[in-house]
Amino acid sequence: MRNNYLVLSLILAPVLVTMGCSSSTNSTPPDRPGLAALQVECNSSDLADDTDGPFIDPGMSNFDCSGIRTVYNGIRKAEISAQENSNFQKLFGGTNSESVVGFMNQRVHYIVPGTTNFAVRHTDGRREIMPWTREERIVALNAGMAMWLTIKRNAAQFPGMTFTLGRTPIDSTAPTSGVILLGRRFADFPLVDRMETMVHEARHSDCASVNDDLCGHPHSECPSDHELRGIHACDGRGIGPYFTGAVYSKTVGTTCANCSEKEKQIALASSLDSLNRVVNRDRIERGIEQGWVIDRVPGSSPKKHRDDLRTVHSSRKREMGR
Amino acid sequence: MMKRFAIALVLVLIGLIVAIAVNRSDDATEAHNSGDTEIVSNSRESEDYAATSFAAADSGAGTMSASTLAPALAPTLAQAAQSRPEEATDVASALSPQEERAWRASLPTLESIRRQTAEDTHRTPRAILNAAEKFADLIVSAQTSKVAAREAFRKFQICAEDKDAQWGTTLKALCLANAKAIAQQNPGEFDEEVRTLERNLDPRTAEITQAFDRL
Repeated sequence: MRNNYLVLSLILAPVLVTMGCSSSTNSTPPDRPGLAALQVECNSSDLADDTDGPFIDPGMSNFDCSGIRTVYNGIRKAEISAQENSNFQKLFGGTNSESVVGFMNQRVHYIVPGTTNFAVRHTDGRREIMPWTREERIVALNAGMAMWLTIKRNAAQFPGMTFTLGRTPIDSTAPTSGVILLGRRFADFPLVDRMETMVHEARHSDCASVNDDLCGHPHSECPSDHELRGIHACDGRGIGPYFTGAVYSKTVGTTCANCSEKEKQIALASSLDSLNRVVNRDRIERGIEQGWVIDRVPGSSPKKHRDDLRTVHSSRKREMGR
Repeated sequence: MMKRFAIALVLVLIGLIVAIAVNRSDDATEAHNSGDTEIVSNSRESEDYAATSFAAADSGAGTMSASTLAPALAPTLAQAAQSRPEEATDVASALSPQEERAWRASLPTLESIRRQTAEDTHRTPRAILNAAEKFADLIVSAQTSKVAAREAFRKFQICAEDKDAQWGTTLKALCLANAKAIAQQNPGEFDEEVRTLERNLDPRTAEITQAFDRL
């Protein structure tokens, strides 16, 4: 009997060794869970001390609120590292995620759902001037910039125009207020793409002078020799939101140590797509040299916007009974 | 009793021979890879792959051109060259004509990308993101064997070539980068194909690739 066990173990030992070797040589390395594993819920204690992050309008559903918190968590925890003196460092002021969070906190202060009615008060009417923001197709929009642009374009026709959120007026004298609208479809996009979207929208809050064409970095129609010709989906001024998003996504796609392969491929695709929309790339370096990277309307500070929007947030919570 | 013992002995011998053969194959593969600076031990965590391969890329140790996009994919491909069955086949025949047709048909056309962009001008079209997710599966599968690496390379080659101008610049640039990354992890295997790809690249894709490298 003892001999039988000996024989059996002699047979099994090499077979098991062989199986072990085979599994180590033929198994497919699994894709890691990546940033998607960083999902957080609204009111999560993980973000309880996030005092610099944006206010989320009480009209936002818990599902969408969690989606936004997850995006911020992804931006904060993505293990990225850019080169010193790179465009990333020039744009974000550092070489890692912390600098991106700082960039966001300077430019994004209040997030509203796609169903938001930006009512307009003006001297002789009750007209809703931005109904298109509630269209299903809108995934993300820097509403602060859109409100400012709307006022700028319609001021002569409707003097004294003021936007309100609920019953509370919003400062729309510059595109820097940092009010971002996220449509219901925002949640349908992959996390890494949503992160890039938020960085893109944040860049729309930048403005050196309200009289400057670059203020708010509005998009332009793609030129006739572009594959997206005729579509209002390009940046003609070098270092606008598409360039900023491209720089961020490239860094995620090329350096993120805790991203999955899917997330890195999506980041690279987002980066290339955004870069493809920067039609005057020769202006990039000139823009950086001329200091267009970090620009701010004189007298308009992130702290002031944040303080104003804290009041709006309290008022909205009372209105919504939350 | 003697008969059973003889059978057991034969099984033991067979088992030992197979075990020795497998170990030799591993040693040979390891020796083959020893000149590649980007190959790291299987036992390391993935973060270490990233650190090692980016360090190699930054110091110019990569075997291909100094594109930043291709080395970006190196971390997950680094395992690929660790151990692969040797099977003689060339890139052109890595896919059957039916497989090539199916692959071409699975890629989003420029028309669909334009349509989705027009619907939502701000965002990267969903079709491009879906394709990127599919590319990630190919990148991961390219790690399993030389045959899988050839199949993946061929697919990215078809996409980057885009002989019928069906796909947009973004997709072509991404496919080129992925093809170069696979080539980088398989030294000497796809060098000529990559040179041909880069030579025949349409000007817009070439320009975007260069701009991306400078980004």
